[in-house]
Amino acid sequence: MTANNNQNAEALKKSAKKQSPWAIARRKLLRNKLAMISISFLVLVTILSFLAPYIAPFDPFRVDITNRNAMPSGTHWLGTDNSGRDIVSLLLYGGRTSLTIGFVSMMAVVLIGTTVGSIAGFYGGWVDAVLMRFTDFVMNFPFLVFVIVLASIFRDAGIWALIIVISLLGWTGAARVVRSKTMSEKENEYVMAAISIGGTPFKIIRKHLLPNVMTTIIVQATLLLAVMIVAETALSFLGFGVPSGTPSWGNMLQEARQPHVIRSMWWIWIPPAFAITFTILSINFIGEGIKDAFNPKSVR
Amino acid sequence: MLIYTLRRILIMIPILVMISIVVFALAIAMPGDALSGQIDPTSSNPEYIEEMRERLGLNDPYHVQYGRWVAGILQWDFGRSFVHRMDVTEVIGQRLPNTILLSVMSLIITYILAFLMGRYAGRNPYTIGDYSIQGLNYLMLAIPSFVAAIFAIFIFSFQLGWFPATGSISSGVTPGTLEYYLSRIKHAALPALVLGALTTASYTQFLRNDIIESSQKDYVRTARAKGTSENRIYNKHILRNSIIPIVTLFGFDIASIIGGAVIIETVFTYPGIGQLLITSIERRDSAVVITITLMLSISTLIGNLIADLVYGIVDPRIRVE
Repeated sequence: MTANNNQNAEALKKSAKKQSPWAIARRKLLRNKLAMISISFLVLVTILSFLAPYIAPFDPFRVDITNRNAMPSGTHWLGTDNSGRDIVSLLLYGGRTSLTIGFVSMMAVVLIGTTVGSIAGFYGGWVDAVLMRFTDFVMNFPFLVFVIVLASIFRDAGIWALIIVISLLGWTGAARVVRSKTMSEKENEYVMAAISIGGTPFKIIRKHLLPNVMTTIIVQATLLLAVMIVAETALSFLGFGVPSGTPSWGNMLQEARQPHVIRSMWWIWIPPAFAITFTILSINFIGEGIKDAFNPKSVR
Repeated sequence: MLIYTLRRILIMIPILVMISIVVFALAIAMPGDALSGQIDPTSSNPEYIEEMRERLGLNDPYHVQYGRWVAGILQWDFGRSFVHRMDVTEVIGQRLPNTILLSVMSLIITYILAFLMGRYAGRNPYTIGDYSIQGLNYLMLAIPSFVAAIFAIFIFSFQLGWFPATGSISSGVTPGTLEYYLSRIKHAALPALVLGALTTASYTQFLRNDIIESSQKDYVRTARAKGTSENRIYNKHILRNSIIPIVTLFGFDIASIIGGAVIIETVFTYPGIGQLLITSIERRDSAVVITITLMLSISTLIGNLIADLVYGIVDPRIRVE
């Protein structure tokens, strides 16, 4: 009995030794059903959207006057919109636009936020003061209002202008989080050791601090992906986002700004509404799952 | 506290100046004439535009124009709206009461819903009721406001017919009567419900977690040991402590309501500031756009100020910097 217990304890020790924090987190995440379902859903939506040119049943740009606002049928599974474009095809192509903008601006925001936050957190002092005052300053602008006004000024510049505008205004939260995490991480001995053997600030941030701040960044990135997709769809819905000819989930919902469409043509607005909501929901669940997986206190 | 308040207000002044510079830069970049709003935005006659620009001083160096613009604002002159043919202050003044009504109603809805759900979930954690509230929270966090608004219109206005789908007042109601005020509240109810319900999630979650945490604390055990009734413990001892942090979120709400109102008012074609902003951009009524942008930026700034000040009252440690 005792021998058995000892053996068990040793086995536990061994397995505990072998596991890096990343391996533990991965195992926890794999066991989290909700997060796994969400990841599968998001991957599926992404793959379908990016395969749009190959699997879409119709050309999403083809206007068909004879088939306007058609009910769902055998040929058009989800019907057609006001210009006679096939909803299923629009949904696939629209997903490609919305997800691309979401991913690209999320990466830009994470990049800016991480750079500003890690520099401010590592150097401290007046560098920190200047950078953080600037962050506070940008934070003071009402995000949506400024994005709308800026997007209206650069309206003709297309998708890339939109990505730049929402990225330039959206990085403040990430910068703050990365800064506070870097500041607490900096106090550890290994950073002092790295400084004392003559590591350059850039190298210390990149090699020592960032890997330890990475979990925070990943959680932030998932949440930001959701925020960015919502920003794009909201802007397009208001008519200041993606140019109106390009299919996107927000643009599809734009037709629901007319009450008669909401009242009697559910097939036009329900598919994009569900696509957006379930995508955001799955991203949020993934974010929660990752946060939980990296939290050593959680016992799931 | 007084010194802290004064210091926080003094910090605002340079930020205000910087915000005004950014907004001015936007005004310069905007199509048409955003500073005084006197050039016809639909005109494409280059001679007319050049003549007007010269007359209004739009060809002066930027710092001269900026000085003139700020001097005008300090005298409450925000230029004229070309579309509405009246002063910008007047156009905004007509819409502002609608937006204030909407914001106040949505705040009340947020607090009532969050209070009820948070309290219930906090008192009965890990039960079916708690899990349903949590599930609802996840859904409300995920659903974008305009999608929620469309669903709300579809269900409550068209299927059930409880609320009007658009506008802020029924036609043919005389101002000043009770019917008039009821009609206004009825029109604001559905947009306020959507706006308020979506921000409930974070409050509910916060209140729930705080109540659960507090219920493990020593003072609660003492109260229980003395034989205090469960209701009294939760209502008097725990809730009072849990409500304090929530109060501090109020300032940040102003910022989130501003963004939310722009979208919600547009979906419901509710004639408030947000909808005015969107229609003015569409009609190139730049003077109105710039004034609203400035106004909303300053409101956000004041919201953050209130958040900081309330936080200073609640948590004295913040005051020492």
